[in-house]
Amino acid sequence: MTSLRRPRSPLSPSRRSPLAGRALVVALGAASALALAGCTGDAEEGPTPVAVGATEYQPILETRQPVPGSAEDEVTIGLVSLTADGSTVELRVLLTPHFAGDDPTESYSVYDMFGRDHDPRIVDVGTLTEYKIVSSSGTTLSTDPHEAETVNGRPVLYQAWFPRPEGEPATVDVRLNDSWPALEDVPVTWESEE
Amino acid sequence: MRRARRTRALAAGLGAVVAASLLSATAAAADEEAPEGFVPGVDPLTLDDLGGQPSREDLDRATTRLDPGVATTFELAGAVTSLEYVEVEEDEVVVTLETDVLFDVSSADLSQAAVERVQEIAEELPDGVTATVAGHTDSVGEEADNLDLSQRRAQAVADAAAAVRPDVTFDAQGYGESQLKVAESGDDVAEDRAQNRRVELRYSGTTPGERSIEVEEHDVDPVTAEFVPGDRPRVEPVEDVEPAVEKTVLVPNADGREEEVRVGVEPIVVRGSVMRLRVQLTPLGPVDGDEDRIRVYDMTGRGELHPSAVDPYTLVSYSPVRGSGAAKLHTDPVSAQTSVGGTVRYEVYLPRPVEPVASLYVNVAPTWPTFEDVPVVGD
Repeated sequence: MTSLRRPRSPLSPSRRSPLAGRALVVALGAASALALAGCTGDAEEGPTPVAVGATEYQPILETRQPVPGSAEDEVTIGLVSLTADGSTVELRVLLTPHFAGDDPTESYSVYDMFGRDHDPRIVDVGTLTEYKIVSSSGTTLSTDPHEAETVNGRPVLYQAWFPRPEGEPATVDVRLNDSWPALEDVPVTWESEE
Repeated sequence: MRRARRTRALAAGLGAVVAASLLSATAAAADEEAPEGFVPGVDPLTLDDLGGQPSREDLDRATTRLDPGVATTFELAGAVTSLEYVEVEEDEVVVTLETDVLFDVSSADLSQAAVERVQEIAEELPDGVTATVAGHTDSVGEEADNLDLSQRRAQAVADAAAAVRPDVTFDAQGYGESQLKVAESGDDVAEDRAQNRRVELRYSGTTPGERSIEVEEHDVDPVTAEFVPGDRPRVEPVEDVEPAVEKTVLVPNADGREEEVRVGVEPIVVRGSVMRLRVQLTPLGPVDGDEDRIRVYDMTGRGELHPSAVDPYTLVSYSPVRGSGAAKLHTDPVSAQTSVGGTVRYEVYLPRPVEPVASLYVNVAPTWPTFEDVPVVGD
């Protein structure tokens, strides 16, 4: 086959937008935070610790997204951890609602914040394998998205268990909701095997 | 199970308690006291609360393995170079060119890549032959419009070919939708229509009396590569990424509604054995009467979303990677939604290019124009 002329790449490195705007940083400790700040030129600091009940969590990635389908409501997503132990991997995420409305007593469920949908997945890009939340004996292994609720500005902890990825990949992508951007290259902490 | 049962028992009664407890606490107070009893979303769960470790069958049901082997080429090697396939019948050779990679929707203007490819084919023609160029469309739209479009496309191909082969006579003729190659029906109607949208270059070039029919189309072996993740987790909100190519298009529908959607294609990112294609969709007004909860499915014509990437220089087409049950590694278009003026992203994974490319053409829906020259970058 005759080779045809190809155009030179029209993409300059600066064409890709740095993480900015709603995307906050990523902090896997001070070194990572410094590395990121250097990469993006963004002076923002990493996510601050968040208390839920008596427990304080340190998100490693934080972003604020619209509630799917809504023009006004938003939710802050704080990715805490992804930990493999036994035959499953546990996802921990903090969700903070920012819904329109003046009633400070009105509560919003995780299901509300997900836009009345609930189908988180994790994806191992290296092996092209997608993992959904495990259902065992009719029980979905996650925080009940209808029962877990909170008020505006107050975070709630959401947990879900997926099958343990084969091959122990260093990272996976987390797709919390189809209307939100994927959380990519999320590190997995590997505990004991099944 | 002990705590799970307890959760259900406590849930109704604790609602008011939880709300009151949350409201009385100061925001982000690290030293606040946990509410009494188990509170969903506040007290961490354990697997024991949910019934213990799941079975192997439960784990397997939640796992989907996807196959990258869907890079399809329409390129053939042989005596006559073809964009899609070559048929040889008696002494006549028919080269069929799929017009989706040659022309934009409803356009008869050849892209530069298409001109080069057509001319490459023309250079293979025998000296001094007469070649007919027949244009065909699918059955979508008005018959008269299709007839006119097919004529103009046939003429465009003939003109491009004639530019490099002045010794060959090219006779262009449009047939519109009068000679469909395949019936347009069933679940694969989009694929059927794509087959019908074609230009056929026909000439005598084999030994008279020889009778054979060859229809060649073959898959390209996908290229695999090690996936090297980034050194930190990341998220790219849709508003932070500038599309490489943007167009305003109409939502496909059979009701005659003219609802506009702004569609932007982000640079394609290669990740290991696959490449990530992201399409931003912004409804510019209500879609089918809805101002919010507008789904990607609605904006793409409820079943007309058929993303692909095409290398216009080698005519290799890339379709979404699929898993068991034809599952795609993509955003669920029924779940992804936004509101008027908001932007939602549709993301899908395709096999990585079989050879390094600077850019690809991207198709999203059959009635939308091709998004040309979308940059391809490494992760």
